[in-house]
Amino acid sequence: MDRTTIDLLQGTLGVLILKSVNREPLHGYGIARWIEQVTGDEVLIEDGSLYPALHRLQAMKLLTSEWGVSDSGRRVKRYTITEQGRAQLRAETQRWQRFSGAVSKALVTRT
Amino acid sequence: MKSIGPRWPSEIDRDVDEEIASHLDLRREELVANGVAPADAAAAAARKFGNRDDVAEACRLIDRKYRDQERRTGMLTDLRQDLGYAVRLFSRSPGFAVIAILTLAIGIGATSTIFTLANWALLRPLPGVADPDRVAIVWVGRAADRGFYPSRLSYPNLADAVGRLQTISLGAYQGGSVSASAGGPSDEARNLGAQFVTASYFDVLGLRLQIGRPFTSAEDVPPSPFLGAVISDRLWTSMFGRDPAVLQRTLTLSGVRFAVLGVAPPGFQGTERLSSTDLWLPGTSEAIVNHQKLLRYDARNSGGFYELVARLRPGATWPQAQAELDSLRAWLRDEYPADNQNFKTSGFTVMGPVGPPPMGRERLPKLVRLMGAASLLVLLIACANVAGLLTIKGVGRRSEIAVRKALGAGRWRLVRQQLAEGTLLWLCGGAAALLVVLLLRRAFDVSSVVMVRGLDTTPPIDWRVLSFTLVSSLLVGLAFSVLPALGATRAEAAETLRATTPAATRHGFAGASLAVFQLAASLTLLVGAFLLVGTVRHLARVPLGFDPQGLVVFYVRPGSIGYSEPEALAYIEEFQRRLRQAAGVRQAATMMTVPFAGVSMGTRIRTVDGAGEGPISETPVNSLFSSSYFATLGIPLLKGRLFADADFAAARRGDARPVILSDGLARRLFGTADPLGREVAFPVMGRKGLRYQVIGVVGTVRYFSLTEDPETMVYEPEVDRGALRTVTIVARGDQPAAIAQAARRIAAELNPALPVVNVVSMPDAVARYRGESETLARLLVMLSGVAALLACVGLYGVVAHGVAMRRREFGIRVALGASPAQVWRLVARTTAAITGAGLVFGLGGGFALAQVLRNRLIGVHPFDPVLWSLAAGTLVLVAVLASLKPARAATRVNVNETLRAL
Repeated sequence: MDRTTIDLLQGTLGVLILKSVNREPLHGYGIARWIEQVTGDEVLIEDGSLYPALHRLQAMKLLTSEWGVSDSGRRVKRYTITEQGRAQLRAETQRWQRFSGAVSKALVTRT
Repeated sequence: MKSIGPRWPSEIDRDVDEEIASHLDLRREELVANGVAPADAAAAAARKFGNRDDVAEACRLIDRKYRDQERRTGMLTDLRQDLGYAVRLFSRSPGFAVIAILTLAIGIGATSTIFTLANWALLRPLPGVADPDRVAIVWVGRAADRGFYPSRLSYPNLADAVGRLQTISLGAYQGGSVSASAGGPSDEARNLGAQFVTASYFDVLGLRLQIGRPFTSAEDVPPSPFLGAVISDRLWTSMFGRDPAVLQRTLTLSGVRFAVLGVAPPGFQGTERLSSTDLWLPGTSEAIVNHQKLLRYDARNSGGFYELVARLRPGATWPQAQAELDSLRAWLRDEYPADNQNFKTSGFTVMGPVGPPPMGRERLPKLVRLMGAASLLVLLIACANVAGLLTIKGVGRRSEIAVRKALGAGRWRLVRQQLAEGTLLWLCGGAAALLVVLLLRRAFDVSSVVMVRGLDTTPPIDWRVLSFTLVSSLLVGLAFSVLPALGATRAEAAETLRATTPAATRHGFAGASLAVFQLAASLTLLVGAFLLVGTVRHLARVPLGFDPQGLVVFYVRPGSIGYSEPEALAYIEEFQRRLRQAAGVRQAATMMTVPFAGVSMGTRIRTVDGAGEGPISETPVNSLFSSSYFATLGIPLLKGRLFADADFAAARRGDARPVILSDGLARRLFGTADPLGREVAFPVMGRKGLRYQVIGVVGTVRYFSLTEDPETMVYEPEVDRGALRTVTIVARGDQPAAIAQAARRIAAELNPALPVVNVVSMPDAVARYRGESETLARLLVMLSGVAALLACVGLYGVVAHGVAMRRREFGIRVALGASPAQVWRLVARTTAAITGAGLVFGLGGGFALAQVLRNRLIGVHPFDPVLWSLAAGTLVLVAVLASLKPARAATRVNVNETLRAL
């Protein structure tokens, strides 16, 4: 593989998932594709690791799920973000921005 | 509508699998759309996915945990909701809740108390005794009409008995009390129950000491036995702090040092459940401990034991044992006719298994059974009543329930709500019952039944009994609430508006029958209560012959620590002197016997003339130590004079022997003739053939019984050393507590090894003789009060319900011109029918109860018309009160409303 795979922390995956469903409900495959597309394939994850994360987010009440039908007529389980999820997303985004900003500053400082 | 999520494990598994499968399909399709060969696409998708089984397992675990969590919080929320609703419901009608909780509290509390008492006094296994069914108490003596005349089995006789008896093995014991202190003789002593036992006592009972060992028969040899004591577990705690090295400690008993040989098993306090023995000492140490130089162990006709324990040998039966004991008695009588004279009349009686107190063996269980039955009845009525009230409330909430059902509440949910209400009521009732138990524990004094003095017959709180009663009443409560709950939730919307559905009529009839039952039960209990209260009042009015108010009685035992006669007399004089000077004490006296709190010697007294013997009478004797006895007790002098100090001195010198007779005795001996100056003779222990001169006659005093004829009594100044062993002191003052305190203080000042014992106020002592009647009366008054209250509330509910059902009818009647009085009469007719039925059944029940109580009614006829009328009248009053409010409501029915509803 000649692309950089960035090891993702578990928490970061959760934030990405929340962001992905922020606009509209998505099923698990759709979330995987969104992450791939939006990060420009920079971030590769095993599909399988997505699902425990999704179920965990649902157990934490940040997401709810329901079965529905996809455009192609297939049964799919769609995840929707909750109010609590939105709040969590906002908080995590801020934290990430502060964190990355701090690290960037540290890395460009002349030593 | 959003789904709650999968519920069953299989659903969860299916869900997860489907989700993953769906993902893999979508991935595969995309790959194919991007040009990958279909055969490779599936494999590629699987590779990209990762380990499918691991993922599935992880998701399943998360989902299951989540679902369990949700379920738990769901249940808690529901429960909180139900309870909150119930609480709000009850706060809206607090009267109903208060009555319900109160009646449940009394019902559960009374039943718990009585079962605790029964368990503690009658049922619990005797700790420490192995196989108690095969162990019995045997008394030596003869039974007579008025009680038991005990006799003793001397040591030589006991040895013969043990050798000859095949069916039982025998041990012997002799109760007593000793003043004991840990450590030295100058430490403050307290009075403990002790038993002087043979070494075989421990074997017969099968006692395994927790520490140490009992003494052996080789160590129990007169005149100097090994001075070792077995102590109770309780004494080990209170006197030695559960010192593990207690076997190295010593005990001082009546001034004599004893080693601690061992500790009895926990809970063992003697062979009776209610006994309070803390020490077991070698039988032959009795002479040493009690300072009795006259006690003999080698004589066949003196000394020995009054009570025996017997264990059946394998294969034997109790009838066989009794037969063998009878032939043993005959053998003893015939083999040693001179020494064993007492066995001409005395014998051995197998009293029954260890456990029950010998005196109250039959009466105590009967009393407790009666109390238990009455309490259970009231508890049952209380439960039925509360359930009935809940039903009526349920009926009133029909519309509310219909609305809730329409909003989607499941039937199970509604039933659960009702059950929550019932449970809350019963739980509150149970909690309040704890208070009731605490209060009632002391109210049921059975000490007079068991004829034991100075015993703490208040049972400890038995948590097992309490929790059992609580749990069982909770189950009963749930059972009683289920039917109304189911009934209430079955209501269809249309039915709520219609007044006379079959269900409603059924409810009405059920309610009416319940009311009749409650009224009848109340009347039964009321009859019992009035009869017993009458008995108690009669007993309270029985003239005692002296004034008990303000008197305090206690004992000292100067002879028990070896005081000689002059020392003991000096001790008593000093005690009396200090007591009279103590604050709060107005008068004091010392004597041998005092009414209702003492024992006495009996004798046969006869008149003596020059011409020979006159009438003979059996009478008790009271030996006095001070001339102030009559004044202190308030006994009136009828003729002649009382003892003066000079009389005591003269009697001790032997110059004169004055006596005072009670009024009844004087009349029996001398008829109408003047007894003053005449002579009488009566033998007392060790003194025979002496003549006494009558110097005065005093009023008759009741000494031992409230119900029998008052006893006669002859009074003499005390000269006999034997009486110095235990001396009774009585003092009169304003505050019994102050007197008791002064007495204890003086005893400690004079000699710490001699404590005062059995301090009791005279009114309490007399009350103990009324105890059984009072206990029963108290219980019945309480229960009948509760039952009447319940009946009142129940009847109110029924009448109100009936009026509500007949609103239309009343409205129409009023519209057609009926007067309020006529409407009232209509309501009264139903009420009268119910009350009448209740009266009839209640009178029948009262009749049965009066028969049961027949033997306990003293001074009161079982069918006393006044008392029965009072009871019936109370019931009628209750019924009238119950029906007033609904009747008035009936007359106020709004005519327009009813006409519009037609």
